[in-house]
Amino acid sequence: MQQIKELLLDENNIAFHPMIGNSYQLNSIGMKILQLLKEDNSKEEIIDALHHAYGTSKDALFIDVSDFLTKLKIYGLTQ
Amino acid sequence: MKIAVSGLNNTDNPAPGIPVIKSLKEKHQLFGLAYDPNEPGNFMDMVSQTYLMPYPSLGIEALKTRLEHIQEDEHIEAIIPNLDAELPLYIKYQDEINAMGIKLCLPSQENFELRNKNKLDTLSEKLEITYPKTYEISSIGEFDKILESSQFPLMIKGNYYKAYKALNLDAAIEYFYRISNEWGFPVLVQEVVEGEEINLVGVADGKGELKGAVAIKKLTTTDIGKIWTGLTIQNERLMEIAKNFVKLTKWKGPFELECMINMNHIYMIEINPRFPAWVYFATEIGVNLPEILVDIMQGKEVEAQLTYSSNKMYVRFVDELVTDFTDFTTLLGKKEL
Amino acid sequence: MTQTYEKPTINKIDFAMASKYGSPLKTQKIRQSIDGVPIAELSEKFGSPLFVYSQKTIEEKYNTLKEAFTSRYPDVQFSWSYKTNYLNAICKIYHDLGSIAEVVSEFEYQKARALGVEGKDIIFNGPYKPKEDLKIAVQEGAKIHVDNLFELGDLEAIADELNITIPVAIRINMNTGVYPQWSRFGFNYENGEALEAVKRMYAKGKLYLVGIHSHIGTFMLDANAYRLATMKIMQLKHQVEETFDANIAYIDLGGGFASKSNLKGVYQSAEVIIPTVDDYAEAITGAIYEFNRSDTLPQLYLETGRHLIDEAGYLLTSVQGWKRFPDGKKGYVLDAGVNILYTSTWYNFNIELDKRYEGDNEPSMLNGPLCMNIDIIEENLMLPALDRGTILSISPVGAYNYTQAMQFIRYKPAVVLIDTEGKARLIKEVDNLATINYREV
Repeated sequence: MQQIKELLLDENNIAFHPMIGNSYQLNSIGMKILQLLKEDNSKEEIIDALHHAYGTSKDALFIDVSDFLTKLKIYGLTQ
Repeated sequence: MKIAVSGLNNTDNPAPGIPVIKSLKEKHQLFGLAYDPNEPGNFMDMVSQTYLMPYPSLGIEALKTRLEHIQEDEHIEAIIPNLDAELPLYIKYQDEINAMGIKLCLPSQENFELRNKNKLDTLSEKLEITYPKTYEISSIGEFDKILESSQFPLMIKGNYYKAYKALNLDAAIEYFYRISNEWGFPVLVQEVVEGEEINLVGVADGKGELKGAVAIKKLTTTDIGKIWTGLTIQNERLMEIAKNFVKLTKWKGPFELECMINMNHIYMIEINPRFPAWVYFATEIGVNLPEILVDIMQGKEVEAQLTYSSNKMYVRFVDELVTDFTDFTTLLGKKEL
Repeated sequence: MTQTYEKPTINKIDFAMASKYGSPLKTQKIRQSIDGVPIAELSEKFGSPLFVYSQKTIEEKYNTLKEAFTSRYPDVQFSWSYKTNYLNAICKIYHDLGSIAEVVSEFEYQKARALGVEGKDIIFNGPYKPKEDLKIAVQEGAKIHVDNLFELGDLEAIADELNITIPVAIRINMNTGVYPQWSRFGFNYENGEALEAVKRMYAKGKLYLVGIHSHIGTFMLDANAYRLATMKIMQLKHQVEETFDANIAYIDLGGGFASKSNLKGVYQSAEVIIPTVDDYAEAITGAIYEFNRSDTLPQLYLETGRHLIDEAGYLLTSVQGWKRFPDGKKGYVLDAGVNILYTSTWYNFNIELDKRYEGDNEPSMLNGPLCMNIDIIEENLMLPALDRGTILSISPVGAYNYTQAMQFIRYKPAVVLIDTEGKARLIKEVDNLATINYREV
């Protein structure tokens, strides 16, 4: 989670990695998940939080959040 | 006038947009149309606003949707498109773009096709200048046939962009793939003519009159063939060809003639239906071609400016700037800056 | 719950100019209905995937093409190219509009006859026509377009058997400056092969020539090629009429007019590069007038297929799932694959979403349902995060896709026609086990 904590999030929904210089473009839900990760929430906690905020089913959220986390891994932002 | 200009790349592969903007910035309010947030012109502080545009390959509906959006917050009165890849779209649909209240100064579809690299032979004949033998190919197998009557070196060219000199078949095949992968088919193969390359940039009024022109010789070019230093020249023959070309076709808008001169023989290499990236050279020596173009668009009477001083030298150099990264991310996120 | 949910996305910013995935400006193409019929309703009622044809578009394209030619030339006859799309309901529309039939096999010939087309209204083309079928076509008065000397011999034998002389047309091929040159069909013009074949025909006296046919290629982007083709046909016509006292009643320019399909490897969009029907019509009719040396004008036949039907056809397919590839690209699994989208090899389709999707576009790939690595409908495109059940409209797919679609792994889909009153009607049911097992013994 160290890499995630390094990311700087801006108002254009861009996450910037100041140590490497890479930038990532997100949508608002993606930004929210990054924020929750920075605050040390687990995958289950993120799914719960999104379920409460949007009412989306947990099954659907499981697929979407898993995919998002896979992508973070592909980008080398998580292990 | 509120004028939008495209072609804001200004790296070692410069586009004509910034030179056009430099020529117009004192009298007009300018807007940038970019295809990529990386284009340096987005950050040069020379336009009121920059808009990201859909790629020309997405077609007219995508372009119109974007222009309608731009027109909602900014009433742009004219566009000067400067990129080869976007010109076919702007030229074919100029009436529809005009109908949105946006003026253009472009050649007709018919004239545009006349100078297609694969049809230039016919036009050259009418202008009484020689066109080097050119073949249009869509597979490497066709090199065999070409080599029956032509020899290396050969120029391998894309229909829109890129030209490479191939010294042998291996190189030719490599260039063939390089061009076709990026720009598609056909790929053109042209015999190399010996001589000095000379260039002329001009603007015509669509009624048969050449309204402004400057001829130059490129003294040095960069590794990728872009002008580095150049010199104004006075070549009556080339000026005559430009006048005849305009008279014969009733060309409208900017154009660049690329010719090879060999003693008293002139060869046509290509005609570009736009300003070259060195157009600011003409502006600096008193022939402001983009301004003449704007006058033509506005229907003003324009005096032809075909004289300029000899001995003027052009030097292109690299500059740098520093900006906030948020400018980039804003352009990427909000699609305008 | 005031905010609406959208799928979370993150994309690494690509600083390379001209990303291979497309414009950084987000664009979405949306289609919610075809001729007023909601696509969700079509998919729900008739299943997915589903081919949908618009009769309105078919008629509009036909009438526009017809107008382009008849306004310039007094005697034009269109002939529906069966191979382009031989669904009975589709052929019937063209016959009702006034087209005769152009077939290239005994199967297509039988199909046209079964649809009630008379022999005299069938053009029989193609490089292989079995002799027994050729004989039936001769007896029924079909217009035979001879492709090669073997067929010429077969026809002469048939003339003997029936004790008649047979009127025929020949197909010729030629250089029109277009690559690749279609030299596989018919007799070559430039090397004199075509004239030799006619000489041979008249030497035996069993056949006589009434028509000359050429088909210079497909998806022709240069209308001028038709001018050259017409010129050469008219020159041959004059030679034949002078030499053999023949009367060439018709010339046939075949097909090959482009549709608004985006050819792979061509940067500009189709609407920018394809000629208008007026360009094609002017090239052909202009050359007939210019090179006609007879007292009368020949009848002009056209076998336009793709241009007329391609844009009238859509394939509706639904997203069944998606996965994330190791390179970060998103791969959607659709219920329609390349086996029913034969033209995906050459064309980039127009892919439209069923509604506007919020959120960023991300690099995506569209895969079909086949358990085959090659089942890729679109390799690189920018799409917003789509839901399972999203219906994509793929177009133009009216030409060749249905006729060349092969039953493979899954059942061949159903076909719906939306008539000119905006009513959707099933014209072919989806395959089932019985239809596939039918001829197995």
